[in-house]
Order: sequence, then C-alpha cells, then structure tokens
Amino acid sequence: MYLKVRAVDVVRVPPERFGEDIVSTVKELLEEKLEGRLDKKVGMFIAILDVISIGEGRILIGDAGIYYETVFDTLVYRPKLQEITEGEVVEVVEFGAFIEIGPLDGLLHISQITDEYISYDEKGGRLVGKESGKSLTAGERVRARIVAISLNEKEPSDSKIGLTMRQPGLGTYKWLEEERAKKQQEELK
Amino acid sequence: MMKKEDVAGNEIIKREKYTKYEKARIIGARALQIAMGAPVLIDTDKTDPIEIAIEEFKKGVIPITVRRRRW
Repeated sequence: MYLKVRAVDVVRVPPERFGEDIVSTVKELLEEKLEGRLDKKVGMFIAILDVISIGEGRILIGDAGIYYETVFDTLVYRPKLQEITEGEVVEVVEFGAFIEIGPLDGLLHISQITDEYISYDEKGGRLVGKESGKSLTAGERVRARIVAISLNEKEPSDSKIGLTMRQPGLGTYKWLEEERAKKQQEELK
Repeated sequence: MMKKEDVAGNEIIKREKYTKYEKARIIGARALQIAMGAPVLIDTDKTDPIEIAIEEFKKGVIPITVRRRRW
C-alpha cells in the first residue's frame, strides 16, 4: 500500500549550492538521494512531499559539504503480507504472470491463478484454464493477494513479491464480472 | 573569559573569543568550501581561498559556529 511517512535523514549539501534557498536545495538533494530507493522497513520511496524542518548543519573534517539532519514527509510504497492489491498483467510466461503492483512487479505463479489445471498457450502468450476456459493475458487488470515478500535493497528490480488469486473475490476483473453476473442470474431464478 | 552556571548548577566557562585552534578550523573549513565553489561573502581582489577565508573571518561574516564539547 502507499503510505505518507515522516522520516529523518541526513543530507549533504555540496559547497557550490550554498547560496541557494536551503529548503528547496535540501528537497532536491533528498529527491536525488532517495527517490526510487528501496528500504526493507520503510518501503520504496516514490516522492519527497515536504521538508518539515532542517537542523543545524555540521561540517566534517576534510569535507567541504555541510550535513543537515532533516525531517521530511515522503510517499512510499510498502508491500504488506496478506494485502489485497490490484494491478495490471505486464507479462505472461510459462510459469505464471508478472503483475505490476505500484512501482514493483509481483509474480503470480501458474499454480496460484485458479483452482483448476492451467496451461500455457505459447502462441497466444496467455494462460488458459482447462475446464472453464478462463484465460489470462497481458494488459488485463487483476485483483490478487500478496503472500510472499522478499525485497532486495541493492537491486530493487530483483525484489520478489509472490501473489495468489486462488481465493474467493480474487481474479481478473473479467472473471469477477462473470461471477457476479452468474450469481445475479441464480438469484433471479 | 566569563563564568556562568548551566541549568544543573555546573559551572561553565564561556569563552568569548575563539582559540587559535578553533580559528584555524573555521578558516580551514571555510577556505575548503570556497575552493570547492561556495559563493564568497565579501568583495575582495584576492584569489587564494585561504586568504579570502581569513578576510571573511576578520570581518566576521563566516556563518560557522563552534560546538564545544567540554570546557
């Protein structure tokens, strides 16, 4: 989920930027430093929203920069176990599908798509259920649950997020729509 | 030198002047900043960052203070 977090960090302002407005300089430097970075505890930094306060600068020996401890509000994406998430299928492969959930991609393993047997249609680039004919292709919107998280701070794109759709109320929008229609018809009877 | 007491009643001695070590540290830090491209705060014909820093120090325009740990 996306969170607005108040965080504290130390940022180095290089000497060539001393004359500028400190708040906007610090904000810019924080953006440069943090945006796109992944922290296991905090999550992935999407944007620096506001600089709340800037402490007294510190000068270290042998370094012309000034180090400011700053408090700021930031927007982060933090995947959480058991969280229901919606996203778009970006790629379908033999062993499952990759779902874009926020700034990270989650893997929906082939065994976690439906309760029935599912096979990979290489030509069509899609996954098809054996009995119901339910299919999954790139570009579709799905609702899934996060069941595994393994984040890699150094290489955020190497992070692994496991998803499942084998639960009631989960699946592609199309399946959910069909299910809803079916239920309504049954009620009419 | 001036004698003062802090909240806890401990006697603290406050120096109004910088020691020669502090002076060297301030001018050194400032000279490094200027050498690395920080804007100069005074009008001067000097080109040597150390000399500029000394002049700034004499005029009292260097925005650096000293945090003293124990006195």
